[in-house]
Amino acid sequence: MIQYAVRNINEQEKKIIIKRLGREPNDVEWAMIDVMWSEHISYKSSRAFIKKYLRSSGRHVIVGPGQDAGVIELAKNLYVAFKIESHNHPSAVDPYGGASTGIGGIVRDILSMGAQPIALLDSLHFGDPEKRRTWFHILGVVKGISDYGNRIGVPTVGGETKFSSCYNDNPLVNVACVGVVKKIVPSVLSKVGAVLVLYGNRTGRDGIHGVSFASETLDDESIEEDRSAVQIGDPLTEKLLIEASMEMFNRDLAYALKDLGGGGITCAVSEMVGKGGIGAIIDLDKVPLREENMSPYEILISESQERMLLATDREHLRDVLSILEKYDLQWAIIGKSIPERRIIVKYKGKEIANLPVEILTDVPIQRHPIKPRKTSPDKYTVEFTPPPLEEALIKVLGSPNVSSKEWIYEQYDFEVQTRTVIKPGADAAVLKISEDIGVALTLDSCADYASIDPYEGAKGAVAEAYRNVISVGGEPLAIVDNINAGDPNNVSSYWAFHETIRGLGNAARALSLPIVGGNVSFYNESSKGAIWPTLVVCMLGRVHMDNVITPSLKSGNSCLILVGETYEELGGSEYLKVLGLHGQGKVPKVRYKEEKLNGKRVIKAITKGLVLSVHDISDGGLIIALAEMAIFGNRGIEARVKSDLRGDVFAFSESHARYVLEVPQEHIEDVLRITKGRVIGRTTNTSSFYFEVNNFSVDVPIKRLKETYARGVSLMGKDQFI
Amino acid sequence: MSKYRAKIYITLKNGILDAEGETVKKALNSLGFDALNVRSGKMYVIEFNCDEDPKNVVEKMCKQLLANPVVNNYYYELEEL
Amino acid sequence: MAIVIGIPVYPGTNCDFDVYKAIKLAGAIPKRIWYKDYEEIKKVDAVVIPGGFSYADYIRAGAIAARTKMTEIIKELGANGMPILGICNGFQILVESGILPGALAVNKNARFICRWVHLKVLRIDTPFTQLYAEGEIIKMPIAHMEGRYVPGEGFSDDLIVLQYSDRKGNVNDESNPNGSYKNIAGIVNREGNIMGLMPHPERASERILGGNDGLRMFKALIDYLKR
Repeated sequence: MIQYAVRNINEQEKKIIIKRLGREPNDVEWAMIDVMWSEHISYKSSRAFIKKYLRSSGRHVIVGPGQDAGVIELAKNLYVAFKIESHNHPSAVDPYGGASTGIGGIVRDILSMGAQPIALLDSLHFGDPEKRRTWFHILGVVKGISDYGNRIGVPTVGGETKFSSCYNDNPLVNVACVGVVKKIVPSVLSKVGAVLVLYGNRTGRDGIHGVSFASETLDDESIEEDRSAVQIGDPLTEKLLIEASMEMFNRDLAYALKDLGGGGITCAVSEMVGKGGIGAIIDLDKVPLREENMSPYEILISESQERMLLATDREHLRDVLSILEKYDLQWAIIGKSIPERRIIVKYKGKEIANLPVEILTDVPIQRHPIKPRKTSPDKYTVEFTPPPLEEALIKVLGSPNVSSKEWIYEQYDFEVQTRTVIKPGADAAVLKISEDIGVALTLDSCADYASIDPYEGAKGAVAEAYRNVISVGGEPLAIVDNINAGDPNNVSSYWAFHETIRGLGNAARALSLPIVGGNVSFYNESSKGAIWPTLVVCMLGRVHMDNVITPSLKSGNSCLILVGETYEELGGSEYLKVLGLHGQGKVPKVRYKEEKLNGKRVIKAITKGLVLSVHDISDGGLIIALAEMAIFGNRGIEARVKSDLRGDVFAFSESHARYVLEVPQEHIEDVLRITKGRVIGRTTNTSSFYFEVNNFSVDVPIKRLKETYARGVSLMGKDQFI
Repeated sequence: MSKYRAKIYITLKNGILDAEGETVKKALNSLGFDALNVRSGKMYVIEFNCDEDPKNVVEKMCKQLLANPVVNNYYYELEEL
Repeated sequence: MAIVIGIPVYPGTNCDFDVYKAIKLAGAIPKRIWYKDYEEIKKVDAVVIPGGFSYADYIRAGAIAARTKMTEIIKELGANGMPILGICNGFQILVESGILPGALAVNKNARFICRWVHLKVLRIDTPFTQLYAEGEIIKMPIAHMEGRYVPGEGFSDDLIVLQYSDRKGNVNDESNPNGSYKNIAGIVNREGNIMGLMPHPERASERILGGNDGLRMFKALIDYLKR
């Protein structure tokens, strides 16, 4: 008789459970309750704030938070599902396995809405690139995403890769998936007598305690021990799963569908019937197993990958099974839905668990104390002697966050499914969905700002994503978000989390963007400290194929116009970072009125066909934005500006709400009128980049910029390690 | 019918660029080792029944599936179970 | 008379729908055929084996798919003169099954590469390349890990149809993304009816997606079949 040791429930919660149940749960029941009461599944430390700050309603929202993914109406009869998830802790221990199974999980979430997965994006945060351990993370994660994503035929079309020592022991792997859906398949079942079919891979011991694992901080011991908690991915089975499921959708064979991820069978079944007001009976003997001597609780909480749970009726069963046989997928009828609101588990003919559904799905909120800290600097202006502009430009252009990530995204198949109009490397990805309409997708974060001011940093991520969607000609429609935070029991980490979610909610509301789904990853903390509070925003926009536009300079004879106001906001900037002054200065503030107004103005100029290229300004400021446009388009630039700010401050400040537009001569007047911007220079047919602000100037060959940008992180020794 | 276990090693022919081997060599050297040459390959452990000469069976497995004669060499160890 | 082009789908194939779209765009009727329904492939006018990761590239890319009944029948059809085009994993399946000579090994940099490349067209006397000009430079994306062509028994230089080049048509090391022998991107069999290439013509069938040089390959095949 095993004594099940709970990992996610504290003494107070234990008492609540026993009181609600009216008795002490047995071992199997403790195991089930334990996973459902984990942070990862119950959101007990975040639900209260999610409810308080985040809004999810909007004109285009078809399905909001609460089901397996959010769904937006892109156009008449054209729906898009999207979701974001994190797989941080598994990736810290086994980067390859953690990243690949992260992809598998998010793709299945989209699939379980009845949607065809059409794109992936990933936001990766790694530690100091001078450390060998960081490269262990980078190479494993990138290969994991590449091997899995490429094999299942879903293109990885965008994302970001950022670096900071705070992620040394806690890398972040946040993955978003987008799908196209004709008829939504619900995640919730309210029909009694439905047959529950488990299909996909066999069940083994993978990931046992995986959700618990995600609900703890990592220390040195856990790195070795916890390898068993990491799941192994099987992309071939996942691909077959996708094909089989799509065929079932096309023939309308599913009442409800859920994918199995955290919490395994227990979670999938209780969530499926929980919100439907009914219950289920599960027969563990029917579950196809991969290992010998698995105990019943192991079967119930295993997180073996590539499994789905389908609810259908007897009439459709034959068709379902013949599709599963066609694709050589394991399947089993493991139970049925019942009118009683209970989850009953049978094993070897005996009833081994019998719980009211609510005890698994209604987890009380856990409150934690908060300790705020100061976020504004003592001095607004940072005092230092600026280096020569050329030196600063080269340093920032070649810095880990700014430099080219082509060596990463080249390992992802971004063309499969022949929808990718704007490829990785631009402001956002654009996928063609129908002849005229497409979807713009971006993943953005501003952890550098959040490290100083979590509230502004969170707002900043929303604003940056907003600009990125607009910069490719898109109309921003909705958000899904991933908050990566420290230990909720740590008063400053929890305060930072609160500020992050408050900033996210306020900014999204101000920009009229519903948040249709999200994920919270706590416990990204080790004995050496917590990560910077990192909000990753995934924004989706609608694009008309006629308006699609890229940041690469198109002509050697056009005008460059700057839209938006530049302030002295060097806090968290790449510039101060390369000068060793990170932490000082005022963080860029998101000014909603300016952000909305400039966004509208730029969209107007784009839709009227008046601009050749657009690039938004973010990491590295204006001078980097110009350098990038020149590098992408392989054209020269000659820019001259006067500013009230000191020259380098103007060049490198990362103020929000700004864009650079490349405008043909004949449209300059119209664009200035529409955008209230100002001319800062022109493109040239020379091969040089000339930028002058006040008495600072730089004149470098484009070739040198290209080399610096491309070589980027290898300056930190990448070539040594691979 | 007898039962056997074969350990089959598939390698690249000399003269064929071993891209994976080169990559592994660089990685080893970056960790401080003094790797001079690395050739990579695949290893399969196959338990099987047969009533003919098991060497024949293993040869056929290699020739028909496991090794590509254009680029691979193979060798194996065989034991009866 | 409508032209029907068969697209075999193996477990793990993932470019079949893209090929389907391109064939439709080019003006023929595409037919996706699951590998278990191998009898169906006998009823088509031509076969295009799509890219992807059949059997997850286990053992070697294309190795297991090459040894299925479906591929056996395709080999027979090809031996009887049917035009067969193998794209990426399709090319890998053709060399693994001995339908085309040589082998496709791991890329020189041991990494998966997704990139648009330039190709020089060397032979325009095949059913697939007759709409190109001799020496024409075309653009198409590659996306593979095992694309380095290694010549084998039965290979000779005159079988080369496409070579990786730069924008100006220079065939050299710099323009060779994966280390293929003589920058080989595509070859044809001696009889001239079976071609394999690593780049993806179906991904270069619409201007808005990056270029439409690939569409001509399908159009050429359809023209050939209509004769």
